[in-house]
Amino acid sequence: METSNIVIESDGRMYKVRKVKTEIEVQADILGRFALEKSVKLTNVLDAGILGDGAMGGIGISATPKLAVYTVRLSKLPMRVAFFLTDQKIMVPNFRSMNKSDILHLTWDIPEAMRVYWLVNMPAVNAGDGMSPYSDNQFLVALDNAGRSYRLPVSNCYEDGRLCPGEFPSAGRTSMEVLINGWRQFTQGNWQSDLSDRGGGATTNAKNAENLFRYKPKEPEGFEQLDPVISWELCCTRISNEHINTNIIL
Amino acid sequence: MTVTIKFGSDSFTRNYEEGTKIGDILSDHDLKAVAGWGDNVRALVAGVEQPVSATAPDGGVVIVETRANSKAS
Repeated sequence: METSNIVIESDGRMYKVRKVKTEIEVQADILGRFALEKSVKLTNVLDAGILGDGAMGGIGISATPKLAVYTVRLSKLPMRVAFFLTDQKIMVPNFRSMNKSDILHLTWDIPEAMRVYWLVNMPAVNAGDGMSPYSDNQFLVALDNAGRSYRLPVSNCYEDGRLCPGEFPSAGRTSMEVLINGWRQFTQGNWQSDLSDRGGGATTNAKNAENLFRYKPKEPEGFEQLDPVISWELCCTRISNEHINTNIIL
Repeated sequence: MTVTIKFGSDSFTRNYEEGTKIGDILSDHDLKAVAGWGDNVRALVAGVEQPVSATAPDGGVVIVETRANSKAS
């Protein structure tokens, strides 16, 4: 189809501009590739309270036809790990220890200035092939007010924020069941010593954990959480993971 | 040549000499100090990891990302 219009340039000259519109055939695989890359972000899909204590706000979903990533903001960090008493009579975690008799089941209230997120990958499945929803990866990341991301000084977490959650039923009948299974593992499993040296290194991570996660025994029983010794950013390792950056829902 | 470097939410645009390598950008002391990345990082251009010997793209975007090492078996 041809169209034409008259253009008058700033110097007063007139031109006739012809446009020819011709339909082109696009291979289906190219169209498919564009469709696969199109992502949708949904905020506040669910109340995070559905997961229980420790999750807050709304659960967000970042989805492409190949993958959905769920974002859950945390109000508490599970702290089921070995602890020891410092010379100053402060209880601090030792993520390198596997001594079961030292394990306490505590939680750490995340300070208001710190935003911590737990993300769950769920690859797309074809139910027609008898496949069940499942999760293949989880991530843990802290963000500062400028949106910069950090790895917390914990174990079971790779340099880039990907978690190593251990053995648990990562599949389910529904996506929600997969999310809940993962949440149970994250909140009720113990931190192991694996990967405690990633990010800042074993010694630095240990010192950072002592500076960040601090408790004081209180009478008659229990523990009172203390403030970090230094700003939380200095207790964590600055990271950037494009998968998290692209899919996190804030 | 001008290169835009992204690390997480931070974005920097810097002028470099022609032929600057990806490795030069990753070891740029000023950038490392401001952005906060360590030595264990990799560079992506258009989603593809670049070797440190590759020439940085003039006018292009280099995404710096934390590299995760696999677990010891």
